[in-house]
Amino acid sequence: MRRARSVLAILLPIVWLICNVDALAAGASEPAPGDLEALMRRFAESGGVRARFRESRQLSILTDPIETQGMLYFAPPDRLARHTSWPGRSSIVIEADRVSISDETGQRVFDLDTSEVARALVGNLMVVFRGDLEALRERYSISFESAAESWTLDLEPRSRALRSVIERVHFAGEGQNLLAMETREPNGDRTVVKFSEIEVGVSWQQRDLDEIFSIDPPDTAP
Amino acid sequence: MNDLRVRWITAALLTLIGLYGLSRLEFTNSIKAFIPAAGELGDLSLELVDSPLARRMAISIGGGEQRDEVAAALAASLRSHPEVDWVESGLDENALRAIYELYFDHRVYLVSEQPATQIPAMLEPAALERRAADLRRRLAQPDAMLLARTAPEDPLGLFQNIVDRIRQANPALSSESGSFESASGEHAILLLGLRSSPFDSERQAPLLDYIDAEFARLDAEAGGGFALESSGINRISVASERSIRGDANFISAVSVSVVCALFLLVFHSLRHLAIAILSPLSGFAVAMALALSGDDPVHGITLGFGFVLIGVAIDYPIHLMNHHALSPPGTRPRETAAQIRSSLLLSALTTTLAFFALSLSDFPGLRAMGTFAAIGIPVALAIALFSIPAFMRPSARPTPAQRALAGGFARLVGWLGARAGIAVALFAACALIATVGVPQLHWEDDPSTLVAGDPVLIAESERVRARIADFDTGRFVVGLAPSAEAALALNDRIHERLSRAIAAGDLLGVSSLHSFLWSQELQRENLEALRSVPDLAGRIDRAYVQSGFRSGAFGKFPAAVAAPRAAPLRAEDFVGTPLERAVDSLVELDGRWAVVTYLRGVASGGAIRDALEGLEGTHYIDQKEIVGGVYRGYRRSMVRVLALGCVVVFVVLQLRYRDWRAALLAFATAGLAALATYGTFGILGVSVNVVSSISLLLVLGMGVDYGIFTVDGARLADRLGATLSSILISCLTSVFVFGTLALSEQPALRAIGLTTGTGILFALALSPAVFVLARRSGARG
Repeated sequence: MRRARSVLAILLPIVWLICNVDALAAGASEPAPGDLEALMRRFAESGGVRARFRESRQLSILTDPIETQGMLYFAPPDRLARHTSWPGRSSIVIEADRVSISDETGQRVFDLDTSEVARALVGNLMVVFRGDLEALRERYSISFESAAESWTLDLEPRSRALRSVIERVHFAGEGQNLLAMETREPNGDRTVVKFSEIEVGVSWQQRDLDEIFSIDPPDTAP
Repeated sequence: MNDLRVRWITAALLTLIGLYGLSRLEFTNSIKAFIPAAGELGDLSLELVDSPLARRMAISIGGGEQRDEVAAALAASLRSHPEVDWVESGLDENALRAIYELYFDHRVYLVSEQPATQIPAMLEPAALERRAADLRRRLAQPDAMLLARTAPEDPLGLFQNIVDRIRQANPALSSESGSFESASGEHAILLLGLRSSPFDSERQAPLLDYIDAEFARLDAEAGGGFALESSGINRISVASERSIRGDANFISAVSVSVVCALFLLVFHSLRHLAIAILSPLSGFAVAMALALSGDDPVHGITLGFGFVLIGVAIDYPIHLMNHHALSPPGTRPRETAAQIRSSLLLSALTTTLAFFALSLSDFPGLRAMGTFAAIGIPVALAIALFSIPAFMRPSARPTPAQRALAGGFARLVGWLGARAGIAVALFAACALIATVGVPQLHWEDDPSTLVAGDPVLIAESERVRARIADFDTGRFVVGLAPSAEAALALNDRIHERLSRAIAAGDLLGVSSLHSFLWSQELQRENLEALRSVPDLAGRIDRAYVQSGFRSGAFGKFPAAVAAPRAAPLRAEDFVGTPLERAVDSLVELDGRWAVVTYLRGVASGGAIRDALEGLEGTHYIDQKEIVGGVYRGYRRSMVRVLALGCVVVFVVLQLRYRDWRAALLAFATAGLAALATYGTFGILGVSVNVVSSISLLLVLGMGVDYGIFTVDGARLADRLGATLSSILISCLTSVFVFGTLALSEQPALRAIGLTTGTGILFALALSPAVFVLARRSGARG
């Protein structure tokens, strides 16, 4: 459960990011995609992605949110890395079905096969990456709205297992820009991730890939 | 009664008895049935040999990155095998959820092993502030979602402490990946439980073959390159049995061929061999039928050794047939039988009494063998005297070989008779060998040396055990108590003592039920200690607010302490959960409850005993020590049996001959041959064991037969050649049947072969000397 939820918390923003690489790269003056199909077509054309993230996790037991910052990387078709650099250092690297986590408490590795929830999420990631809207609809109730330059995308899990962890994921953007992603949990906790300095269509040398997608992350982005 | 009728009656009776035996054939291989009452520790050890704790196997799969998938597929396949009770390959999401559900509501009972002191210390303001800061820091970690969900009800991290304790119980089986894996992360691990005893080769061999076949299939499907290794008592057991069977088949082929050649050479007929075998075979069939008529199954070792012991009886028909062939023409077989009847009766009587002495042993294994053989020998004699003449041709004539042997022996004895000093020197030489060698004899009391394990298999097993940091299944601590709860309470104290031993460096680690379950008494003490802290809610609130937590955020925890959602955790709560196997170490034994703690890296048994000093009902068990003690007992018992057998045999001989010199000479062949055999072993540095001792009884049995025939033959000049050539044929037959076992790679079989082969050859060498001395003694008398 714990792993599934943690993977979920990490994967959802990544899913969104990958799905929106083109939109993120595009200028603010571009109109929002007119429909979900258009948005998904852009997702399918995603390449390597590098972005800076700023996360604010608001927990009901804390008076102030927990803030973290770091870098997010995606290399098609199935490699994702999130390296936190502030306030402490931690990393999550996903390669196919294998998830590696490193933080101040140590290193852990687990297999997505062991978690129905995590497996579904990675499956979703691949579905979105392929622009497979039909498969995405099988797993989520999707609500997409756009008006002029702004748009919102809401995902509500269909399965009970996913719903026990995530109540709703809300994406908001203007034109092709992502402004925020908010994840709400059934207990009222919520996490907001903002992205900046996004680069898409990035290609790396093998040596850089090995460095980025390891749980001993580079000090500076390559 | 004519011969034809005797043949039919014999055949019919043997067929009926054989069919009866086969219809009831049920034997056991359990070591329990073969080990005597060795006190409470021995009983406990034996009970645990057959308990579910011993019925386990570990499989390691290395190779490509898909090893987890191959392991999972193999686990799924094994779950449907009838011999497999359970399979564990990892902890999936459902398993983790089950562990959460099992423990979370019980967290207030499982706080500390020292609740009276540690819980108040844990709830001091400064300690709470440290915990609050730690929780705040951990909530910033990337996988803190579950922590954030559970923290309001568990601000002290009690559930995480329980999970850490369970992980520490088996640190090598890292289940971070969901699948069990070795400490290095390079091997997927499967653990499986067996339904049958690991010593039950009949059931284990098909399972092992199935595992190999399934793995080969999965390996091929996954592209190859994977490697399966495993460890388990069943593998060693099956491999040993296969090795023994292979050895036995080879040696049987050799001995049967040589014995056939011997009979063809001497009798010019294999019919004589078939007739000769009839006698010991009948003894074995009747003894087996009687043994199987009871409620308990017969032990495989009893059957095996019983057959060997009854093999002595092959001498009777050989003597009969050889004497008959060398009798004057026209002598009928029954007349020959009548002529040597008294010698055969005395031989059988002394052998039966010697084996009967074995049945007086206080060791059940020896007792069963002795009884078995003591029944078989008289039956074999009865067949030799009553039935075998009916199968023999009435007008047998000696073959050239028989004539040559008889003539040769007559000349030898004649030559030796003129040089009695040589005969005496032969006795003196044997006595010298015995005097020099026996004090140097080395007794091997380690039963593990009786079976030669495949070194490749043992090395593989050790590699797998190292990968999972397996505990030494032969060394453990048992707590015994009248109830399950009392056993758990005792286990709490055992764990405390063993933790101190670990801290002192006397022990590397333990595998204890205590990592999963505490006694209800200790659990209630935990709850009471939490409840006795004044203003628990206020303390937590004040400390955690300082680290940025909302006031009142942890109100559910004091509420859970005041009114827990569950009663203390019990062993029954584990049923159906992924941790169900953990409570296997709590077992009911004869109305009492035992809880077993396995040990790893024991520096010395004495240190562990010292650590457990004063804990009533607690026992440190080293199975190797116990079984070694049992075997030492077997050896002492065998020596007593041999001594008793010798005395009884000598008394019977004295009663028969009423001449101490004749009795002594008849006995000397056996006694000196046995002593010289062990003397030779002592000089050559050959270790002896309990199997050698049982085989020595065989030497005594045959040696006494040779002695009786020799002394009786010495009284009748015309029997000289027939008697000694009969002894030679018997001796060669025995050497080829039993002595060829010395070729075996298995130490137990080799011990039988070496002892019987050497002993019988000594007995043969002494026979002409006995003949000469007996004749001189008779002449003087």
